[in-house]
Amino acid sequence: MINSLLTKFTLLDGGMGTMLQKTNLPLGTCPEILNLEHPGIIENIHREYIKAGSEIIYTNTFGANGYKLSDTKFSVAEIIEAAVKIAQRAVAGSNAKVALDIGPVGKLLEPNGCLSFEEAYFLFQEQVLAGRKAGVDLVIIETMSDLLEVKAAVLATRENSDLPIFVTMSYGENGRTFVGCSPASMAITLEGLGVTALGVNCSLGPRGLLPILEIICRHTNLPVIVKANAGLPNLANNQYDMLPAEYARQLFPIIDLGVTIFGGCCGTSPEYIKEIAAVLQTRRPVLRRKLSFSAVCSGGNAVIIDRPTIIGERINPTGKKLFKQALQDHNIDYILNQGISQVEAGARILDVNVGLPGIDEAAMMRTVITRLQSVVDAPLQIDSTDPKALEAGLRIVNGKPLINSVNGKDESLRSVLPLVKKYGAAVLGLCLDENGIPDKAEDRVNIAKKILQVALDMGIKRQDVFIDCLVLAASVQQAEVVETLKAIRRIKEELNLKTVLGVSNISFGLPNRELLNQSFLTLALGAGLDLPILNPNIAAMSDAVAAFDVLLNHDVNSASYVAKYNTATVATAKKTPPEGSSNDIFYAISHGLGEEAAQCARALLEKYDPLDIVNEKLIPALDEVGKSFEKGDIYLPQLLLAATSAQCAFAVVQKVIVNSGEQLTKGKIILATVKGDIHDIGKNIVKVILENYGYTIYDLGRDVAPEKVLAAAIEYDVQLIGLSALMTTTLGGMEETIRLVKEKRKDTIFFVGGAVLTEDYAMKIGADYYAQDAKQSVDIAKKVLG
Amino acid sequence: MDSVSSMLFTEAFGEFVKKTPREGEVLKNLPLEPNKKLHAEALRYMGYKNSAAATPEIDLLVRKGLAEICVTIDSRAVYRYFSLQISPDYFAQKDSSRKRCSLMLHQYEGIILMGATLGVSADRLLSRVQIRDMAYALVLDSCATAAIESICDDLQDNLKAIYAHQQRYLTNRYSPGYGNLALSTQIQLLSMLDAERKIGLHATQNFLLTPSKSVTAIIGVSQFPQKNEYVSCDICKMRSICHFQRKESL
Repeated sequence: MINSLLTKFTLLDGGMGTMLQKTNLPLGTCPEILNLEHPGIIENIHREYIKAGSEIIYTNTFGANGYKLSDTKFSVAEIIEAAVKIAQRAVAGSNAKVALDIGPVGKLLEPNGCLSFEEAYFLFQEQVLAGRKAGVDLVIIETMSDLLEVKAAVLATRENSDLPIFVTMSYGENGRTFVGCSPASMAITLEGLGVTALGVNCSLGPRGLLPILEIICRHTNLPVIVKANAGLPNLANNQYDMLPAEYARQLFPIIDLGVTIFGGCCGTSPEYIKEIAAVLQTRRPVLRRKLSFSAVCSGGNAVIIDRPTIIGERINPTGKKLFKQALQDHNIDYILNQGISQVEAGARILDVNVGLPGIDEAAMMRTVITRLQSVVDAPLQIDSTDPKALEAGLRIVNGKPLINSVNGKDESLRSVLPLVKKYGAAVLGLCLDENGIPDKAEDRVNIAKKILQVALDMGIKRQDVFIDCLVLAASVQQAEVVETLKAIRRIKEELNLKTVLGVSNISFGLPNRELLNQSFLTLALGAGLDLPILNPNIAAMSDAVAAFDVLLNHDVNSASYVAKYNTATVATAKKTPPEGSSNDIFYAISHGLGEEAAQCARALLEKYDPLDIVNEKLIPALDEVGKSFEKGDIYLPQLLLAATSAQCAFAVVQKVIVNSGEQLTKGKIILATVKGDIHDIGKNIVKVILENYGYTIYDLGRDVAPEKVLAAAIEYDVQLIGLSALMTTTLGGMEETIRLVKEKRKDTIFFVGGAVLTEDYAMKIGADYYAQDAKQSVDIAKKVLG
Repeated sequence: MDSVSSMLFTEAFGEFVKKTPREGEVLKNLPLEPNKKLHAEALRYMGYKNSAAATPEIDLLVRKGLAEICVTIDSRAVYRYFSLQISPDYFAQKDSSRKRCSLMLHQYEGIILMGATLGVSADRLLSRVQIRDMAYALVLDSCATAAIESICDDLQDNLKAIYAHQQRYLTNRYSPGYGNLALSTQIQLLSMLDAERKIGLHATQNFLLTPSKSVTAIIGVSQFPQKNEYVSCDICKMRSICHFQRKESL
């Protein structure tokens, strides 16, 4: 089917809404109900389009999902069955095909909104099952803004039918969808997920969509669709004012790009389809050059691997006490912070490994990926030895990820490669097998060949297989260092595959590791390494890559290099405390000087016990600031500045405590923003302040179901729980949570806060304390936990 | 606008609004620049009673925050005019609230619905900064709130000017959740604006707007000059606990 869509033109239909408006039916009602109430009107519209030349017509089911129909008396199955029947009657006697039309759910997906990926999946699944049963010929997912929502719809279709899938998304003049999806990310991700054709619809006229189609055509070999609006709506009459002939004329440069599937969206009618048909009669499809490139992407950011690309390695608990602690305490912010700082330091892909004995790795993978992709735009490398955790991550990840990893063992090939194929990922293949890591380059290349062959046999593309030739410590196997370099060279030359390498193993057990790491990295890049896995926060490493990019002419005009190192342009506006005060941690904290506070803490550690520093220096300083806040002498931002500075000092002290195997905690507190509420800045403010007082915080995030709070209270054995809610409509969730937890754990103490709460109301819903602000939360915690 | 007219608008959705809009517009990248008013508003949202109370450090953070918000946001707005059509039966009703309502109804011949958002990019920025630096996150959050309100003010001023040409007068804007305009009106309002498709604005099941820095509102359109343009805090259910009450109503 793909081939015929590439080599001949296909004509879709035009606007359904536009045609319905002409019938003067009232706006605001669910237009899908017309399938049951006025089937004749819908059938006529279909017939007009077929008469005009449409070869595929869309059923009138754009909003026929369980969420949008919930206020009507009709079920999804009823509406879809009726819509498909109408379309089938209309196509009878012609060659036209019937496409099940699926639009967005109508709610934003997490983390932008409250809709979970699985909920979205089930809504789409219901539509697909109904469409398949009614006998549609294909599925069209259209007017989409969130690539992750598209992924839910595509998986729901593929896992519940064998129907071909067309996808079109809606882009604005800035080349982005409403939620920031880029055309390149869309093309790369959807080709990986196995759709039949992809493209754009709605929002702009054909000319406005041209630059977006250009980008799409540069990033996919699949047939491309355009279904533009008839220009922009006219302010005076709210009508689209581009005439059919002009619309068709604007398609010429789009045909030249190699786009082969055409139709119309808002404002278009059978007249437009007739005009397009006439134009297509005069033209032949332009065959696009076959593309072959390696890429991964997030929803908004496509990374083409055409130069050394740093994979940040820091999201990984191996050998990191604080990271392990963060995983155990569900301290997701700590993990996200690792991600953000690596991206700032130059990582273009982030490795995500959250495996730790005793935690539910699949659940943690889902949580971390969901949160991570809401704060960074880097594509992710999903890293786990557990196929279940891999798949959990693969479902929820937005864009095209890299999988870390498969190796030459048969079992690994069998369990990992089908996931690579199904989710359209790229994969990292390790040159080891049942016999371990071979010493010689020759044998490592042979394992790479085996991995590649199995992958190709499964339908995975060559450019999606990346090989890790593996590094052994020079202190242990010095003679084999050069074998790694040889293997990289041969894999590049003989197999033409991208190569990956975790560089810093090389220096294990030797002094001045940085020097060895940097030198080895440079050698490996010279041998053809494409994707070094490293810690970009170490300047020596990212510096080596920056220099390499200049010397190999990747960094044209050395622009990035100059921007990075021309320190003259970087303003150094450091706050310097007045003389004589630099040793005073109290001064540093109350004046919001984070670095100085950390310095003071370091100095104090030479003389004092870490716990004494917390109890006798940090907390009294915070208390003092808290008092000023209470009196109204200072305002919330200053309180938070003080808290953030104290945090810097706290981090210094905490590291010493954790490394000595001790625990620093004044007690445990769970914090959550209740079910249905996504405004969590208040909770986060409370969290920062409480952490500074030495309490261990289990932050469950926002939109947290009562059952989750209960589960956490049991798992972490926590007595004190703080809940926040912003809106009157979410206070119910607060009450429910308190009731459920107190039912099972009588001794639990709740404190609650939020803009619409009052002391009276807090008591009424069963809370023990009402916290008007962050300072009061501390007072409550002190009272309850000491 | 007062509580009676807000009640009117709640009812209006059900009964009086002619469901086919007469005109409307989608606006993108609405102009926004850091200025004194935005600065002062951001401070007010942080709880400052007056701008002079802010320390130089905080002023610096607010300047940084406003600059960052202005380059980050992907602002969009949509508005539509709907005429009101009231059946004569309605005026025949005897109960007193309806009578009061009907008095108000004579004033308004239509309503403008509007929706505006800073887009998902602002939310992303806010979540990112909340992980790194809560003090700055609070400042940024307040700057973003000031920004969306300022965008709505500008849009409202533009509409006022446009309608003045037709000798029509606008009330102030009125949002779901204030006074007795139910928060649940959000859903219908968004649907009448086709806001999901036009500007990517949605509501959750609990009627929270997503993206979070967004506003929806109703503006009354009248043939008569509107004296009562100012939204008084007195009509608001939140007045007993609100920290942001305007001086005049305290």
